[in-house]
Order: sequence, then structure tokens, then C-alpha cells
Amino acid sequence: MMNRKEFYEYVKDNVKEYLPESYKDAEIKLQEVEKNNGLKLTGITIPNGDQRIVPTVYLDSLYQEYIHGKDVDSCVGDVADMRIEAQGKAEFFDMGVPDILDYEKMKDKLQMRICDKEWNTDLLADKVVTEHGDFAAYYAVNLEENGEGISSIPVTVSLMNEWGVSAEQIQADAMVADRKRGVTLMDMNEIIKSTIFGEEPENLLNEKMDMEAMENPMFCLTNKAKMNGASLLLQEDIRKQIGECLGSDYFVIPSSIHEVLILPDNGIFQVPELNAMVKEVNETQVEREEQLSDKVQFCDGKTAVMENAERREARLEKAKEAEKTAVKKEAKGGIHGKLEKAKAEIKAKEAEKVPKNKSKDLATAL
Amino acid sequence: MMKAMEKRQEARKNQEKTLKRMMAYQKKSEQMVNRKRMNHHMIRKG
Repeated sequence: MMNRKEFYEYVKDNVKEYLPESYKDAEIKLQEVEKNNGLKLTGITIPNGDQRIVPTVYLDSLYQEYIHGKDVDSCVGDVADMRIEAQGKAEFFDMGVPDILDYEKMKDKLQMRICDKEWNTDLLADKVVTEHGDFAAYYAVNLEENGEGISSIPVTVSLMNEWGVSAEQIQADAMVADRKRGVTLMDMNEIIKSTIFGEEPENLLNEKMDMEAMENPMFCLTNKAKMNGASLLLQEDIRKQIGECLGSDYFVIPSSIHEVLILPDNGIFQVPELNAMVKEVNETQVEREEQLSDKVQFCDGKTAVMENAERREARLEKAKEAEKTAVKKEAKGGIHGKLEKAKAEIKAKEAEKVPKNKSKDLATAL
Repeated sequence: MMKAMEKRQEARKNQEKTLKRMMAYQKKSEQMVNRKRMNHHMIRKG
């Protein structure tokens, strides 16, 4: 049984045997690719001729198949099949490569992607990044997007320099492009029903809702495609709209990179239990690559200011304590002041009273 | 034909993952609400 490294090398050394003649001079490379949240995958690139956009075939899941009994040469054959299948798309993109350097042609394809800042320092290292509290936003150009998936390239610092635009410009244009992809706020119950029964749930974003009439209100913010829609949270006017719909402050549950959940702050939910809920669901239901964060956010319904819910609670608690201490000090200061005043008055009176002997002597003297 | 079928499976897989997440959160939040209601009921009873 080969170890992981040996397996990858075996694939690299033997995959040409399963590929057409046009790949015979390919310079095959293995590379580690940084994915979301510290996940690292090993990919193999096999250029066909002098193509500029070369698809990456990831080998990690194939290695898993191998260690569970699949024949190694079958694995190599699978890699070849996947590479051939990806060739059509690569040729399509290769034709459009000159346009990639034309910002005006690319800006409508921009998409904002959101991730946890702390979990993704390596991923973000060479990317254009904007910071938003606990989150970082990075950007992608979606060369192809449809109901079946998205093919994209990341916006790196070097690409931004080729474009000759600023990070702020990219952010602004990505936000416009994201809004065009459709912003939806939907009742969770309706989403679940629609997945089973097929009817598309109503978009509640422009409605005013009566929270008291709802038994367990919970909503989902995402885009129409339900892919990479969590970044919509970073748009202030969307957060404001949500506040207006709900008529209250709300918590934001970082469900995944594709959507966030909105919980009105109706006094039922406590921040520690919300954080615990996110940790548990992340661990049991969400693949690492799709996890957004484990940090629940609090959003002011009127101002749309968003902050880490736990830090907000600590801040409010500290402010409360400080106020209590200030009130105590003020009360103490008042009594103390009165005492001091009274003491001073007595002293003053005593000072006015000339001693008897002295007064007699004075009289004699006079 | 094969290619199209595989892509549809990918879309369905994504939909299933979304459903799993939604149901997990819905269940957890209902549990929290029910716990609060029970505590409130017990306080009143007590």
C-alpha cells in the first residue's frame, strides 16, 4: 500500500499513458492548493500544448478511494478521464483569456466571497482582501456560472495591478454584481418545504413582517443560486433592509459560505448557546471547506452596525459595571463631602472661639 | 449525455447539503425555544 506522497508521484509518473497524444510533451506538476479554512488539497496540472488556463485535478479524494481498495491504475485512469473532461471548458476559457485583463469586461463577473479572517490567513495572502470585523472578503471573477456550478479565478493582488484599479473599486463593483445575482431573504420553514415539494419560497426582503405572529422566526439570507451568497451580509444596505423587515435587532448565524441565517433578537436566544449551536452544526453538518465561521454576529436593526455578539455582550457588561461603580462613587462622594464640610465648620467654629485664658490675658493687656 | 447527468447530480448534491444545514439549525433553534418555554412554565408552576 502506497503512502499519500507515493500515490501522488505514481499518478504523476503514469497518467500520460492514459492520455491522448497531444499530452505527450506535457510538463506535469503536483501542487498544494490552499482552499478555505486551512484545508490544503493536492492537485495535478497537465497542460495540453501551450494552453494558458490549465485545469487542476484534485487527488485527495482519489487517494481515499485507493486506500479503501480501488486499484491504483484505475485511479490513474480516473485522473486522465477527469483531465480530458475538463479540456473543453479550459479551451473555452483560454479563448477568453485576453479579456481577463480588461477590467471593464470583467467587473460584471466579480463576486465577493466571505470567510473567517482568523481561519484563512494563508488563503488570503496573495488575494485582494477587504476586512469586515470577524470576516474577510476576497474576490473572484466568475468566468462561468449556471445552475450546475461556478468556474472562477481569484482576484489576486497582481491581477488587480494589471487592471489598474483599487481594492475599494473592486469591492464596490463586486457588490453591484452580487446584487444583480438576486438577494433573497426567506423563511427557513419555506425553504425546507420548497426543497422537498419544489415550489420556490417567497422573497421577504421587501416585506414588513409581524414577528409576534410567527412561532419560531428564522430566516435565510442568500442569493438566487444559493451559492456563495453569505457575502451579501457585508452590504450595509442589505442589513438595513433586513432590520426594517424584522422591525428589530437580530443575530446572524454563519451557516456556511453560501448563506447566513437571521434570528430576530426577541429575548429568547442567549449568545453562548447560539455560539454553541453554530459550533455543533459546523462540526456535524458542514464540510470544512464550506464553513463560514463559528462567530455569531449581532446586528443593530436601525443602524445596521454589525459586531461579534459575544464581544458586544462583554462590552455592554463592562459598560454596566462602569456605570454602577460611577453611581456608587457619586453617592459616596456626596456623604463624604457632607462629613468633610461638617468637620470643617466645627473646626472653623473652634478656631473662632478664643481660649478663656487667652481672652482674660488679652483683656488685662488691653 | 453522461456529462449532463453528472452535473445535475452535483446541483442536487449541493441542494441536499443546504437542506441538511437548514434542518439542523431549525431543529436546534426549536430545542432552544422549547427549553425556554419549559423553564418559564416551571417557574410559573413553582
